Amino acid sequence: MPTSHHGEREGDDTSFDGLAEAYWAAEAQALPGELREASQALRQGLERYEATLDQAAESLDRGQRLQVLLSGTAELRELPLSPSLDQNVQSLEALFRHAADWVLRPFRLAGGRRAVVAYLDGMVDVAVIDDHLVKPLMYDAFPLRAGPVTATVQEVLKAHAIAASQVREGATLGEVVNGILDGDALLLVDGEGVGLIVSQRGWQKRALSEPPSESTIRGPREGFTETLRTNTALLRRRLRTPSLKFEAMTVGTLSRTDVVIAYLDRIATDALVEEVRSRLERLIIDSPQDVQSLDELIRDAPTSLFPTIRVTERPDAVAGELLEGRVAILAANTPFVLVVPATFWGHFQSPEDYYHSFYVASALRLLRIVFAFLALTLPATYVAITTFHADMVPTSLLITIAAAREGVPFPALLEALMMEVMFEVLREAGLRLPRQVGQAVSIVGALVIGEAAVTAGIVSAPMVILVAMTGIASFTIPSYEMALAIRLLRFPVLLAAGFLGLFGVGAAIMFILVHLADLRSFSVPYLAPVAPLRLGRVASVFVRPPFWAQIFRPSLTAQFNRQRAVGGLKPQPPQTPAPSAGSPDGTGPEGEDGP
Amino acid sequence: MPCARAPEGGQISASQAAGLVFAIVLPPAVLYLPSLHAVVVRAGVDGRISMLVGAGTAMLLLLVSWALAFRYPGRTFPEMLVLEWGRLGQVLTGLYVLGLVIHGAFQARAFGQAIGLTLLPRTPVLPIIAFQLVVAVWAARKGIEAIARINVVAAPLMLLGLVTLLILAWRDLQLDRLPPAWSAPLVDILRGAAAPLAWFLEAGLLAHIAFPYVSNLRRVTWPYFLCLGLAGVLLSGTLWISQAVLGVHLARQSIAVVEKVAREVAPVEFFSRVEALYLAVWQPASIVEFAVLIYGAALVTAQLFALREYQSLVLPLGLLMVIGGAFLVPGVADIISFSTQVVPVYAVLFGFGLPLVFLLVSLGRRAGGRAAGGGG
Repeated sequence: MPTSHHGEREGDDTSFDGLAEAYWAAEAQALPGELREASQALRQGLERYEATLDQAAESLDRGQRLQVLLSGTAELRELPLSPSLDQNVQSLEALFRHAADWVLRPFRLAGGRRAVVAYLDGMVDVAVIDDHLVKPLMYDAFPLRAGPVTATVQEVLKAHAIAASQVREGATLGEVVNGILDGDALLLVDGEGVGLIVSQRGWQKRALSEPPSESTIRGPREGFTETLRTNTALLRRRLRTPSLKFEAMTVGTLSRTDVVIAYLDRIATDALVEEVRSRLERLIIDSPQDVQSLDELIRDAPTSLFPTIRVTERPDAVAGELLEGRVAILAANTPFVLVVPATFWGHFQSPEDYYHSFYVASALRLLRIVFAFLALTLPATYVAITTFHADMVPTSLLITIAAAREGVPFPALLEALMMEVMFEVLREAGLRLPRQVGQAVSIVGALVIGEAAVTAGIVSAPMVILVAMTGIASFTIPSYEMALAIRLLRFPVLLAAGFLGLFGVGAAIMFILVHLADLRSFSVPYLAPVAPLRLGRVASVFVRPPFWAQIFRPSLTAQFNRQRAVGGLKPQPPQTPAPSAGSPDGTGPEGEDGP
Repeated sequence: MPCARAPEGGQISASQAAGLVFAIVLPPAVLYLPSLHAVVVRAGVDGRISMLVGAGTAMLLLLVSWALAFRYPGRTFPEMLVLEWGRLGQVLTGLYVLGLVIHGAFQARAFGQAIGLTLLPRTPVLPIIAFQLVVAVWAARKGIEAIARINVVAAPLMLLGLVTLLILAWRDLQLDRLPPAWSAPLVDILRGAAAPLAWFLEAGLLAHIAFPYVSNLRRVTWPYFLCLGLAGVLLSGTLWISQAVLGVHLARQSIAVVEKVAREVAPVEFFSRVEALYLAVWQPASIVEFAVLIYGAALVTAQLFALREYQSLVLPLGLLMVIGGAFLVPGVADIISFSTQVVPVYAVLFGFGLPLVFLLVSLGRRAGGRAAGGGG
């Protein structure tokens, strides 16, 4: 039998129809008695599946149709492998028809029995398969003849012939097909109704690099990659404890995306882990594209602008979150990790905070919050004051502003809206273009167009300054999702200011506050620990406590095993007096070396 | 008619409930009360004492509502009325809702008028009221839990603004402008306390509506009365400082004396007129107050008609308040007369009179008690 790449085969049938045909064809051949019985079971299984499909097609109710289809698919997965190698091969070929990366390599074992190795090209390390699977089976002294009489072929092969650390048996079509799709190699031996799934995954992967969206000055330079196992290893390296749990599951009926729930046992609450698990398990979707789709599917407030789940690509940040009792969700093919629960204030904390002294980190944290507020309200406040409350402005400043606005044909609101939209356009264009060109466009846009617009009298210079300041202020927000939310909300606040002045700004902020007060992230109030107020934790919103003062984990997430350090870690000067000059140990006075 | 259980499932802490006192009592009282004709004309310079007397009396009278909340844990006051008095209770509950709507309309108009006078002199009051109430309606739909959380931000802002103003006014204080205390007859001081009493009795609404949702009711007593007392001291201090800054006569002639003080007191020479900032800072607390009023009215109506949820009533009741605010008290003079002639009547009636009668009757019947109530 030649190695086949079924992308070349012709045929219009769906894979399931093709599978059925393969069985009928195999049964038509003369089969021994026991094979005929096994084939009969398969045929009945397929007939049940076909009946299920018909039932689903007739059902008008969408939910019912989905349920029927799912039960049918589950039934198909449970179809047992046949002892006939030909029949199994035909089944697999039918399923992987038109798959150009499908490889099926038939060969004979050293003892003469027929066997095949099947895998998907690009998902496995072919050299390893050749050297450690096919070659020993074909050429080396085959121990089947020497094995104990009671041992099955699979046991003997696993024990003596296959040089791979991860080998498992698959007895159903679903198991072996999933194994192949996961990047494992399948070994089928004629006469055996059980296949061996040998883990030989070896696809191309990106090397570790600094996360571009969360770079730090002093922090580690490694970020998550698109390979799930690398990402779990990055976490494991930071938290070398058996308490670190990785619960695996697959999401996506077609993509079968590997998803891992990571948490620290006995620190994260069981309720939180169970909540995450149940939200992921209820997902019936063909293929979650990225963690963004998972985020939207499991978040508490699906229509809110504000991120109620933290997204990061830094292992150190995730490790820190896990230590505080949070739960991380890692998915294959993405370097981004979701962390739940997330609070509003958490989005103003940066990994950088933990690589500076607490004074600097606290000042920066406070600065970010203030500037986030400015990013939201600065243009609106300017519009409100210049339009409605000019008497608030000192006379000299008012004259300066009036002089700058002289000749500008638009009201302040329109002027601000134009400039804000222009700024967003420039920012978006800068992102979309290649990096070198993008920077040039941003700079040219900001300097040349801004200067030209002021000179032409279309906008005033103070407005350009304000919009630039607002843009810079929004860059101080560490969370990209939060920055986007604030950028977007700036426009309604601006409109409210244009219509009702400072009162409008206040009312718009109240709108936002009401919304925030109503949000929750996995049962944790979004504004906590400020609202509801938790006096013991509220300071940590604005300042980064020194490490020697971080004795307890936050009660919002870690409800037991809260102590993370013993008290009294604050460094103190030595309690015993320093030895003086000429002391018996021979050390001299301060500033002098001993003899 | 069956008496509906509270549809609200949220829970608030004792400190959150107590914090709501500031949002309920201070705005817009802080604008109008220190300069109310009824206070400053009757009690003269001793209006500040009237303010304290009003606050103290309100604290005593509110003990009745407080006792009822403990006697019928987990039940709102109108629920108690329906439970014990049947049809009469339903009629009284209907009047209670009407009182809440009228009071909400009055408060919205009073704050809207102040905003109009100081921040938006060329803008009609109706859109201002409507805009405020839209936010309040949205907050009320979220329930008492969300309102209490908003207040955690709004009440400190209000207090911070007021305390900052009073501290900044220190520079402009001229104590020689203040005549000695107790210069007015005691009767006038007590008569002057009537208006503040009515405004402070608003806090009874919390005992009637919000206490059933306090997670630990036993812890609410001291914070609740402490906040009430602090609000009284703040209002009294505001009048005292206003008189010392502006002089007794000018303070007496002002409609919103605090706004005038804010206009006089400049934090730095750079800014000349910052009263708009103070009002903008006080605005969140006023919205919390409207939200509580709308929430209370909707909740009680839902209970009266045994509705499963109250949210659908929030918008119509908010709309009623907007209309009431536009037509019930169409000008500043109406606000003043309404606050001195009408508010005390229904405030005392619903804040003290009715709860007192109900408490006495239930004591006589040995009704209520923990077994009669729900969770609490």
